[in-house]
Amino acid sequence: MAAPESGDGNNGAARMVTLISSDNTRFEVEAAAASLSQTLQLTILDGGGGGGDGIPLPNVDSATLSKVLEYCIKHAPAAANGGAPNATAVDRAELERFDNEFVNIDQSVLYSLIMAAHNLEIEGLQSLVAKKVADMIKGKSPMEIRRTLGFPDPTPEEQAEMNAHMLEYGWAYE
Amino acid sequence: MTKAHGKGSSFAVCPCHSTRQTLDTLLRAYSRAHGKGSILFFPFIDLLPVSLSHEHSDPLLPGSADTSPRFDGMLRRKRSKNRAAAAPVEDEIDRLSALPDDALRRVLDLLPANEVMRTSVLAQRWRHLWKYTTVLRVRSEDERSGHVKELRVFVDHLLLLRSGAPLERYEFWFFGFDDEDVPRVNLWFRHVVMCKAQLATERKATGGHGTTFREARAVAAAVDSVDDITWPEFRYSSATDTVVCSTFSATYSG
Repeated sequence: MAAPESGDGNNGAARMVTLISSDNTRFEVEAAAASLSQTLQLTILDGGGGGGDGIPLPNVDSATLSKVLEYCIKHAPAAANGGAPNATAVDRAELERFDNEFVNIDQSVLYSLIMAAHNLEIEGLQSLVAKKVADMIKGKSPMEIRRTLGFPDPTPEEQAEMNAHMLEYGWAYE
Repeated sequence: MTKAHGKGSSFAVCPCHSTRQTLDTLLRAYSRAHGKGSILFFPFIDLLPVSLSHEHSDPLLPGSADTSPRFDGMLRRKRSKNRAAAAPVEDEIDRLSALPDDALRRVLDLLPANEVMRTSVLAQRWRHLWKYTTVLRVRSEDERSGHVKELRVFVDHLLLLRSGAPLERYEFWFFGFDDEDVPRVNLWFRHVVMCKAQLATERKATGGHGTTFREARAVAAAVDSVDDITWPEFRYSSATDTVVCSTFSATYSG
């Protein structure tokens, strides 16, 4: 995972950038935090997002963006340390606690987060949400997974198709 | 590696050799190939018996034998009208289906292979995703089902059907094997190496020195015949009751 460098080493006044959500809400955030997004990183390195300009994010609504930025702000210091190899156990435990809490969310929020993490290419967040979904799937039968993920009960047509699939893939279900 | 490991034993991990053997004719051009990865090799690990193997008595197979196998390609799911009423739920499904492949693949990369396969039945959207995971974790969960012979059908199908899709990491856990299984295991290794995975080994000691000895020697035999590849070797440390990785010659020849 690349540790984004914000480019400015002066700790005094952290450089701020402005992000604009799809519903036109402006978020001002430290460049270091926003740079966790690989998508934004280059723009920010080029000096974008500062002043009155702002970087428009037409794919991310304000609710999701605020959640994403919550993650970025929390993880920016550790990322600045190159994935936090020097972090104390306490720091790591705190981040872990934050992460667990962070994905303890409604499924629709989770889906929005997955999309945003993907679009913005935030590696850590992509892993985190993937792990959340994997945990939801783990140890469950297909039917249970469907229920967990909010699929409706299969129509007879779907059921037949699933049965056919399972026959073809008998080797996987023995 | 979140699955239960036997208590009281420790792990020896080693970073290993990178091997690149490409059979271009076999490898399909999946652009998702990342440079590096690893294979984790877990012979005969004594996992706590977590029996997942019998939970396939799933309501999805309600003994309805009236459906004949069809090719997936012919199956196009059409939303039937009688589901129009369930609009909110359907939105949910549509959101899930709208997730990019990469996001779903990340999820599947975290699951053991048998669980990955279970997702392929979920819906049309999931049918073929399993072929593109970059991590393969073939894990036997208990001693009874963990013999290479028991895994053979599964692994053969898995590797053949996913073809040459790039791999970053391969984990293979099993409990035991006979001499005649060695060429097969060897073949699997060759295949994953051709999928550009790297090899790392990880080994947890399972018991007495005698057991470990026999197993590790057979592993060496399994990997020895792969051409032009320097494989890692295992070394048993009686002091710590672990097997660690060393260079490929030694400790298990007698």
